[in-house]
Amino acid sequence: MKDKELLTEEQMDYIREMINIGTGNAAVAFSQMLQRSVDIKIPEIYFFQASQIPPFLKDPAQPFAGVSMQMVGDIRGRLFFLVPEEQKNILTEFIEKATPGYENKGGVDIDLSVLEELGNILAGVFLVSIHDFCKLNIYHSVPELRTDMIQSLLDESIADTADGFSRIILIESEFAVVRENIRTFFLIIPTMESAKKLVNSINDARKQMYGN
Amino acid sequence: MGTKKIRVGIGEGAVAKSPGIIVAEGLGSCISLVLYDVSCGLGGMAHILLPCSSECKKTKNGVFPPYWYADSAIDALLKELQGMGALTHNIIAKMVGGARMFPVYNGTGISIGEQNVAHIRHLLKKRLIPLVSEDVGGSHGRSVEFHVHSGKLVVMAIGKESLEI
Repeated sequence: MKDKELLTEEQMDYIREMINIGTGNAAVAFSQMLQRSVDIKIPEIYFFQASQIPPFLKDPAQPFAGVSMQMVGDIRGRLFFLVPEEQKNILTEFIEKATPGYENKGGVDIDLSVLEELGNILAGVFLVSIHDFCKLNIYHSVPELRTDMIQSLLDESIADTADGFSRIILIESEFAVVRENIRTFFLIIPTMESAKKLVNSINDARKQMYGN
Repeated sequence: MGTKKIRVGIGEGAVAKSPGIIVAEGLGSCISLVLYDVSCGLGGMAHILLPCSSECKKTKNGVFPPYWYADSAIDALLKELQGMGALTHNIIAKMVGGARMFPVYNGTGISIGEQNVAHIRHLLKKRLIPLVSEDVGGSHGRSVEFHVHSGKLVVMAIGKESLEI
């Protein structure tokens, strides 16, 4: 992978560390929301050029539920929370069980809003984590949910990076709730400028921490 | 299914002879532009991401994939087809895609999909290539299958019946 130009191994490790801490916090929030224990695996974190993302997801026409959020503040760009279509019902069923009086209507708006909320939680914890480490203030917009072919959800954001050479951080998380494993993807797509800013902040933060 | 399908990924293009089939999957704001000459049995498809390469040419020192941008994609596709023997005055176009998947945040209120559609219409007009049919806009993803021998373009979307244009 041609990541050397923008990110060194140390910088990637630093990002992994931030994400791991964020994931831990997300599991606590999930657990409170679902009212049962939630186990997490250490997330797999990948760094990609924008143009390489669709091949990674293999089938560009696979249906996904995607929650899109805009990043504003010190870092600008797009955030995506993606759940394969077939797994979204598992999530909404858990919510149904955890909420007295709530009726699962099988994929209508109210069920799907659960996904928006999960996207919201993950975006929140990851951005707080980046803030704590890098002293960058990043906010995100109200989440928007669509269910469609994975590539069609992402291509606007890839185009937004203007050249497709911008770096994307892909976080693949697995949450285990009771016996169900829920695989989710979270994408952080900074603009080219913001990606540089993030790298500079990481370098500054590392210097403070390790003195080199 | 005797005919092998050629898959065109994001920012890629391909040409085929009859009875070839060219496929592009998961188009959102992207455009699948098809140029073909039925009489010669030649056709090509570009999976276009952005309207214009002129700004990017400056920043990327001229190194950019031609099929990413509408202007360079049309030229590249025309060149390929002409190279294979297609007659310029026979070539006609169809386009699919250009949806607005999420609300627009860029301040202009115009989505990338809409920009793509408008710019491609303009470019085709300028090159005197007739745009015979299209299925553009909306807020859903599309997949397309192009049959070179008939010029038939089949558009598929989740939860909708497939459409022939």
